[in-house]
Amino acid sequence: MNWRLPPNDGECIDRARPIAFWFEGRRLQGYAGDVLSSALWANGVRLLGRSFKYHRPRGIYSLANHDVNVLVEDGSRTNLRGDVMPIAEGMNLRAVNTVDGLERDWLRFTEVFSAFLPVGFYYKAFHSPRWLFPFYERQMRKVAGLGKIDPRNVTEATPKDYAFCDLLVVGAGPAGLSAAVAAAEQGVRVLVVDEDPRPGGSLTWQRGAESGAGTRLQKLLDRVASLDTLELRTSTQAAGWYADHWIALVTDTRLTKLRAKATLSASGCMEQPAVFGQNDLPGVLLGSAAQRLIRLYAVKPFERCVVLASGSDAYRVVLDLLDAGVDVAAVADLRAEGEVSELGDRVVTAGVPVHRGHTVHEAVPARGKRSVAGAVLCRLDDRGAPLPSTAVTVACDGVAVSVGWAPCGELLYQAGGRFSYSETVEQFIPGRLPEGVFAAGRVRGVFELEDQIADGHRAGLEAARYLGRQIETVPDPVVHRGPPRSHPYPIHAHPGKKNFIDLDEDLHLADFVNAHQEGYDNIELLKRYTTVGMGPSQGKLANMNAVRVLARLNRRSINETGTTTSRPFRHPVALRVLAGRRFHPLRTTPQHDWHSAAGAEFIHAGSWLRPEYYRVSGRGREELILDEAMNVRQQLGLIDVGTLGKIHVTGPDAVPFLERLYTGRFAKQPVGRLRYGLACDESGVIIEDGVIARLAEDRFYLTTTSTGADGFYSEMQRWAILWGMDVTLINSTGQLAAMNLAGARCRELLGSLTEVDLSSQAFPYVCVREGLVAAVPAMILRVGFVGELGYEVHVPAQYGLHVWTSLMEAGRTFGIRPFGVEAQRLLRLEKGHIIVGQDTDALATPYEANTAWAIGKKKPFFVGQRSLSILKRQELSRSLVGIEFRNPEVQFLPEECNLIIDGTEIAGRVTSIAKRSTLGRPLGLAYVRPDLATEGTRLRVRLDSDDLVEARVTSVPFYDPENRRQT
Amino acid sequence: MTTRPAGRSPVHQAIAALGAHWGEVAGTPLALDFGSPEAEARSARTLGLCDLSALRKLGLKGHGAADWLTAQGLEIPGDTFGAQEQKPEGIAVRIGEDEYFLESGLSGQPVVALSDRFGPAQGKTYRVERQDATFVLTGSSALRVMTQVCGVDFRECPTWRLVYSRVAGVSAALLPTSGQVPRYRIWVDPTAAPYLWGQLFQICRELGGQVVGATAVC
Repeated sequence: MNWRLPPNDGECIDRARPIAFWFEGRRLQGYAGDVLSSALWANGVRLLGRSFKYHRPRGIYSLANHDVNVLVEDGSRTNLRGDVMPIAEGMNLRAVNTVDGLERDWLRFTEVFSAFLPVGFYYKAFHSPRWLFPFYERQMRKVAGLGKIDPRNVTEATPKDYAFCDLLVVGAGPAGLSAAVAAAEQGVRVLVVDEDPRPGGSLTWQRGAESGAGTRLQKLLDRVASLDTLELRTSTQAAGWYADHWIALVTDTRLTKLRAKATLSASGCMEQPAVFGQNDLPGVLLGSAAQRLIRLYAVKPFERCVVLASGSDAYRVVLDLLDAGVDVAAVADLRAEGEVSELGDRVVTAGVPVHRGHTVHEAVPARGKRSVAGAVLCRLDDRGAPLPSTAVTVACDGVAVSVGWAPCGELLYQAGGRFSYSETVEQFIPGRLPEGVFAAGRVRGVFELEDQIADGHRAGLEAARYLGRQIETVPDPVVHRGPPRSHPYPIHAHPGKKNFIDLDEDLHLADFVNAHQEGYDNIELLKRYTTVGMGPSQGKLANMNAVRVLARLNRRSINETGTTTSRPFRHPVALRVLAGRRFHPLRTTPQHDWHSAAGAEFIHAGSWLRPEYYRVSGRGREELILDEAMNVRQQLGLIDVGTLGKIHVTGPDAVPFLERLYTGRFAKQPVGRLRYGLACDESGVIIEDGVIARLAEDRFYLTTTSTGADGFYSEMQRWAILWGMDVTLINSTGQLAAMNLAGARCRELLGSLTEVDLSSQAFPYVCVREGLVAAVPAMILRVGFVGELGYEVHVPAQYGLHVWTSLMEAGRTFGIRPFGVEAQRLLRLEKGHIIVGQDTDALATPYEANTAWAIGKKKPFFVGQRSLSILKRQELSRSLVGIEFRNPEVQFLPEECNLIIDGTEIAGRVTSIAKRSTLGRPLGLAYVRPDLATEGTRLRVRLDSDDLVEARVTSVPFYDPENRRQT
Repeated sequence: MTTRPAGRSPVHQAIAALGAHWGEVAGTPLALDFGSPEAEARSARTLGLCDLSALRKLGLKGHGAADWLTAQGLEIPGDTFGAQEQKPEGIAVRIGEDEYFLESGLSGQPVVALSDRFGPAQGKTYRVERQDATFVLTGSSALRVMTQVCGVDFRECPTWRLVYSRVAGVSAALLPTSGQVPRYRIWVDPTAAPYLWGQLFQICRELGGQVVGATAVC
């Protein structure tokens, strides 16, 4: 049977574009504009999903993404929501959370044991014996959860963006559009968002068999389109409100970080379920879901149905059903007086039997429990309890439930708004709202169309006035007139059946009664124990009835009972959308492309990408690193050190500034000389080191560690301000390329590319010269970090590659090869040079790291001086020493950070290790207790395997202690 | 060794891979177009990304910077973060109370001459090495790119006024400039430039934009 209705105004399907898709192995057809749920219903499919715990059959319930009855996966994505997922050609979908398919689902037998699975059963059942817990956990994990993630899927990089507006209006229904127009007419920049694909809110589907609503909506939309300062975004969820009107806007593919100046919620209401026996059967629908099927998707919800009513909206549902050709077999109105209005008269006139003071006591399942075969109607007694003796069964294939509403108040709650329960409308309505937050329409309990429009207009003007527009008079808030649109207690349980309150979590009324008996009589505790509202739809259809039940069990009012906390997001958001496009900035030197072409294996060093070593086919990492190091020792090597921090310090106070910043002395440093600089924090802990070149009396150029440059530069700026010094600081780190040429013949090579006199007399060790290198203005620093004759060449970044390739080409005859960070680490270790951050930690002082020689004597002040003077008088707790190993086999050597053990105590740790060195033996640096620091002391180092290996304290440097190689 | 060698844009390799037709700015290669100047001119009106890193730059910092620049005949911005177009070419930006940044036009000569004239220092004014990459994002959809990479509301930012912000996670200076279509000049540290170029390139491509040569924007 085809359930599709003839075309109607306002339907959102495109009948000219049929779409074929697959569901649970069946090929089906829908139309462009259909969501999965509507397309399935149109094909007569009633079993759309299985429930979370008991695997009960489920069908459409809200058709508004307020329940998760229809969750599917398509092979790469999971937990897709059928109520809002448009179908697409060729889609192949399966329901989540089943074993062997939706129809058979072997886990449906879980329900047989439901008597043994009350809420909290796992708290009581699975904690002992303790050793069985892993088994329980594995089994629980198998049956719990919804869709499964396929780890082979590649994450899509979705965009994230920023947006700005004066006023965010949430909800493009009559109130929201009216508010937006009112504010925009005052010159306010307004952004309206609505989670539905089309604007209009309830006007798009709740007609009451009248066409006037469409005309009214079109007028509003025409006005919206005419205003330049008003932007409308549909299919956009205002997912969360954060401080200062920072709102997360989420679409299917994007997170937008919106900064507004004010927020106006016209987010409407969610229709609420009634509680009766088997109220979760496929075919039991909210009235609004039936209307959505009819008006949006042109699908007939039922052939013959019963409507459970408690307000005028239910009668609009009846009229819409009749308009769609549905045989409405009966209306059970919970109110003794029924509907006293023109709507009620129209329904009676249409010949629909109306049973006042009646409820649906039970939905009767058809064979297989996968659809409705009838509804049992009962009269209610004076206290509102069903009278089983009056039970009448009405044959039907569906029940439309229309008993009331709850506000979509999430954003208002998150913004700090307070709600209170109003018996005038039998729903929570916002009371006090924070500054800059406004509400209008149904969320405030205002239901009549003209009232909503008026209330929106009022709220829009209020917001505009808040935003500084001159508005003399703002109308008073609109107040609901007439009987409430919601029933105060739409819960009429069938004692022998499951009467569901939370469809997500399969919680039924008895669960709440049991939990209450166990003492969970507070709404927050009840929520956590029963997990009500903790499912994927966050209690949209469950929370209100849970509060009503608890209030009645506690014999308290709803206001005394309160509500649970609302947290973002309103609807679950896919992690790929939250993650979005990843911005992980990387810095690379100007020679990076050359390194790549030369086979460099890169490592991350802070934000930098540096060559670790250069690959050679058929050779291993350790071998290549050692080879690069050997080439430096025996021939010539070139390393890219452009990542070093490079800072200019200039000005009349440059010298006193550096004297305060570093531990050493610089006043007498001659122009053209380098000095080692060691910087400490106020507690005397080493924070940075490098070389300091004096370029002129008032101009210095200093280098820092690669990863510490930005932090140290900020620290320098801070001190310069605090000390009020006349210095100019310039961070040239990225503006200059730098490379270190090292090896015995580097003078010869560099000399071929520069006219700077490189002779040891004219350019001694630890000096700096400026001149041209390969025709590029350069600074040349004669340094010896790796223990060989060496020159650092610093040039403007755009010439870095030119100078590098010039050196490499000219160096061919000298056996030059590039070397990476690992070879440099080895070479400096052999020379006994520390690396700040590796051989120092957050507590290391110059006394411990054997760099106290860098502390200037008789200085009036430097950062950390006072702490160091105190530390100097105290006994050291550790000392950095060189270590060698008796057993040089690589597999029995420690890793960096392995502990040194003395007896049963930790006596230190290894900071640097070279398992293979150019000296032919392993060596390292380690902190040890001072009594173990004497040369020749034998140490025991614990390996990762827990074995102990013997090491011996030795003097450093390991290599060329007389510095003959650097002359 | 006396002739200055060719410099390189930090994204030279990425530009070369797109089939650039090269010109030069004071010896540094600059992509003038990529083989279809008319299409690039159209893209510059809708969405184009251009690398102008070859333009010469000079930074000056210190108490006498404004006086020196004025003495050289430059029109310097009165307010901090103000920017001023120069004649016959180039831009001067005041990036601090006593700090200025100059960028040349396509000839590069005025800034090269100023740079040579200034030397390393003049009294209490010091030269600041500026090797920043220059990218230009142009076209009616340029704002859509900016909203994806930067948390600044550029609809409210005046033109010719410098904005410091993070762009795709890296610190950058941005200058919205006036014209028939929105145009943003982005200056970024050259070591972060390849990363930023990659991000902007990807987003532009997603939005239907393309890389355009200097001819399309200068």
